[in-house]
Amino acid sequence: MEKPWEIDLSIYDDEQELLRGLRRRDRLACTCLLKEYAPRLLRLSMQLMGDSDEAEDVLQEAFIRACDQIDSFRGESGLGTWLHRIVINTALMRLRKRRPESSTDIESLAERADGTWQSVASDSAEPSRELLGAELLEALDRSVARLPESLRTAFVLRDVEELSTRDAAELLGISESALKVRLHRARLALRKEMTPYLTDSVSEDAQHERGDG
Amino acid sequence: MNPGTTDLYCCELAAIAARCDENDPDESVLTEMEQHVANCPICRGAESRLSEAVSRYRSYAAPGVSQKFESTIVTRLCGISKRDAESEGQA
Repeated sequence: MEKPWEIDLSIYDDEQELLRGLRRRDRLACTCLLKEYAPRLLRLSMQLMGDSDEAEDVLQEAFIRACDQIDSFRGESGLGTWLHRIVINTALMRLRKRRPESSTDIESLAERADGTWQSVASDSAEPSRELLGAELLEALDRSVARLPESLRTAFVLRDVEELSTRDAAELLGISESALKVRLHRARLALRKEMTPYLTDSVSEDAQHERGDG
Repeated sequence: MNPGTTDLYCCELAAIAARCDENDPDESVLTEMEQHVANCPICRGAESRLSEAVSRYRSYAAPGVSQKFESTIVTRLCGISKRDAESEGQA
């Protein structure tokens, strides 16, 4: 009997073939779609939602929505780009249904950042240069998850997903100026939280600029 | 280091940001914020390091999804298709 890990998925290496398989709701095609796109999309969903359980729900809903709409997919963008949009829209819809967060004034943000900074720092009080790899990225993951929702979504769409200011603002239903302000606040909060991981190089840069180095 | 700055957190920038409504910002305060970031050496350095970290974060390989999660979704997709087929047959 063929074991699941021995199934040949290469028949769907071609995107058009994969689309045809998905339109037939072929189980192998669905498996291929997940293997190819689910990891990255789950991470995107986690970044937007800041919660792993909700992120999985969003991804599940997004895949079901994608398969429901697969017949209307025209292929104007790649399948991956199209799926990205569906995940972003699904996540944002779910976030809108949540009770709105209170406005993120900079003082409460600083307090929040203080708390998070300590919790991040407590994981590794003195990160050395050789640790500035996976650990930095994990710290960034945690820090992004702790941002208030309005800042987190702006940061993920604009800085991580690299959408244009206009597209990110449109998806969030806010003005471009509002998006820019949220981005500045998000980056400022992350700078504080990530200080233990970024300080050395920044100090060197600043010293160099002042002519100390 | 500019006065009022601790580590990478710039109190001057925070003070400007505090005057800015994140839903309906005053354009002049937004401009002030952008100019500060462009001219403050600490902000410039910090944003550059953050940007570098985000760039690595972006290309960081995502961990795979669990087998259970994968099979749950595949089953749901196929289940939906079966129901669709049945309802089409009835129609």
